[in-house]
Amino acid sequence: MKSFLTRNVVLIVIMALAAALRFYQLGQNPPSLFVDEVSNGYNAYSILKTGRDEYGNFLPLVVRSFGDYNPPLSAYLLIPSIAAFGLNEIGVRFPSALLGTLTVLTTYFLAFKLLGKKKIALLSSFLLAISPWHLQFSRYDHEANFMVFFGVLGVTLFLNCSKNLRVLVASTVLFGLALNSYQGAKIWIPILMATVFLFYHKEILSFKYKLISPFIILFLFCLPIILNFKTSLIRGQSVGILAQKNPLETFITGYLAHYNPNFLFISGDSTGRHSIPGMGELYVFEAPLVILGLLFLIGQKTMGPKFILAWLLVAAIPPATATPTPHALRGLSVIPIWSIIAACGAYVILSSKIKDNFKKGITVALILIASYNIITYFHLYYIHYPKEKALDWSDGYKEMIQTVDNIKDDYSSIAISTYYGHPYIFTLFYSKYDPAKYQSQSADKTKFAKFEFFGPSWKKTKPGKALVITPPWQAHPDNVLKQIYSINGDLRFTISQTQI
Amino acid sequence: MKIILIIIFSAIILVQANPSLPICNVNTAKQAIPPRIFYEQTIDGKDQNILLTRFLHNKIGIYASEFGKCYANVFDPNFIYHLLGAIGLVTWFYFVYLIAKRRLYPIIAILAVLPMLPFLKFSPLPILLIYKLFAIIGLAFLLSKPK
Repeated sequence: MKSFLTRNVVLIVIMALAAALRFYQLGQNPPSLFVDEVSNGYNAYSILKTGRDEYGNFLPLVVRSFGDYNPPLSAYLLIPSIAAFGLNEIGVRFPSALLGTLTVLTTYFLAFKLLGKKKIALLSSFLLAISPWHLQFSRYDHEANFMVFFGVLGVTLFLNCSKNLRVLVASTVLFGLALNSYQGAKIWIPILMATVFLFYHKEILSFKYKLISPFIILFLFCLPIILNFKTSLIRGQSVGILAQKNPLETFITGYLAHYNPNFLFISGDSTGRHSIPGMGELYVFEAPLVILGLLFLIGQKTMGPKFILAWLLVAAIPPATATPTPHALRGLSVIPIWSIIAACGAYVILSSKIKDNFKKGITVALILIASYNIITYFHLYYIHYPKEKALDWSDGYKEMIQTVDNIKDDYSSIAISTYYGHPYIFTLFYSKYDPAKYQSQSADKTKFAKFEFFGPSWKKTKPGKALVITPPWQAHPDNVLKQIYSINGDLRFTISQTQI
Repeated sequence: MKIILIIIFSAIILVQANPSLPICNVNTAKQAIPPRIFYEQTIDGKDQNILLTRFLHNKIGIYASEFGKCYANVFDPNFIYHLLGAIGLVTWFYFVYLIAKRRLYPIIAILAVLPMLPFLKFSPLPILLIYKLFAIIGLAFLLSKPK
């Protein structure tokens, strides 16, 4: 045990760092739960309590959410976490942070297997542990993060199967899980598996007739998609490039956009939830490392480096089939590869035969730039981001619902504006409304119990006092009970009551 | 046959329309500094340590970031694609790979310095021409590569 610890002390430190960065203030930053997290969380809570989702479907194989039909894995992964921590921010985000941390470990093994160098593997896992791109998606509940973990672990196990059928089966199970984790996985996982087959078909075909068991497993994991084929296509139809004027041109420009240095190192994704304003998806100091790493990998003759480069090239295909581009979320599957490439670049510098003083100079300069980059990133993430992007995270809903929940018994009806989107799910989530009661009334999203959700205007239909919750610009009764402010000081909700 | 292919593809690369780069130069970088400093320091707020605010939100950092944006524009794969077409894009990358592999430092230096032209408000035309030349040379090397 002691020798294991001393041999792997650096990896253990990296893992501790990865965990600390993913779990620290997990419930507070990002500042609130986004609507998809809330929906996923409530559906997991509903399945936990009743075995059915919010629509009353028993152990669903697709989870319906706002007209979309999502793969089920994410909701099921949340169940133990919500059972342990309750229906709150930690309960919803814990699985993502945990699997994000484990992706760092998996990347270590992947890099080691592909390149056979412990230094590169350690550097890869370190760069992934501090990666702004990976941290962003490991700190909130998003299925793409699960897909990355299961996909990377699936490949890593496959590379280690060396004619062991059990390991191959385990790898297939992981690919199957990844396939059922995220909409984009329906494109990415087949591409990843095809790439694996292209490079390692001799090893795969050497299993001969034994391949039947992985095939059956894979088929079983495809069943949720096959059985719900029509609904599986809905998301693709709404964001896919086929609706564009020139799909091929859109695909090519979208594909190339994911390799734009501005996207990677300077500006990042423009969607508020996908990156930090003022930061690229990777650190600026990684730019020279990526160039050196690419040259190092291109120069290698073995299979591993070629496989890494192929992964890099195919990873932008799924995000390019949808708009807008570049898209940090849909392109998340490439993130371990960027870390491995940058790690190769760092390895090239550390092992180069250039003059010692010159090498020291380059290393010191890189460390100084890296330190400045990293400090800036954490400052932007913890100080700026919650203030700048509070609106993107549906900030204000929690305080509003909790306020309403405390006084709701005094009113005959409670009307909430739909201006900020889907207030019903926030009401269910933050009031921990009994899922068994809700399932019977889930067809009508404009009301449940004494809650009513309205658009431009609301008309009173029941006798007695009513509570009206509006955004600041919307007309409301004169008697204002409370105003809810966002973390950045913006007024989000006005809670007022009617006289009678 | 190879020569004919090189001539045809070179012609295709040459006749591609010249896309314009986003306006990004020393002036736009300077203009970006005051609003960005004001915005970033305001978000930091009064309670933030003033030294930390100055360290993280200063003229040098913002100028460097704006310079980075302008510099990266010249290496945007979409810019290169619209300038050279799909084949030209591949052969351009092949040429860059060759000069890096063979350590042709003078050409690498040219490639590294080229993005300075539009940043310093010179015409970007040399970039367009040199990129086309690189793509054609890359094409010639790629097609004449022994099997």
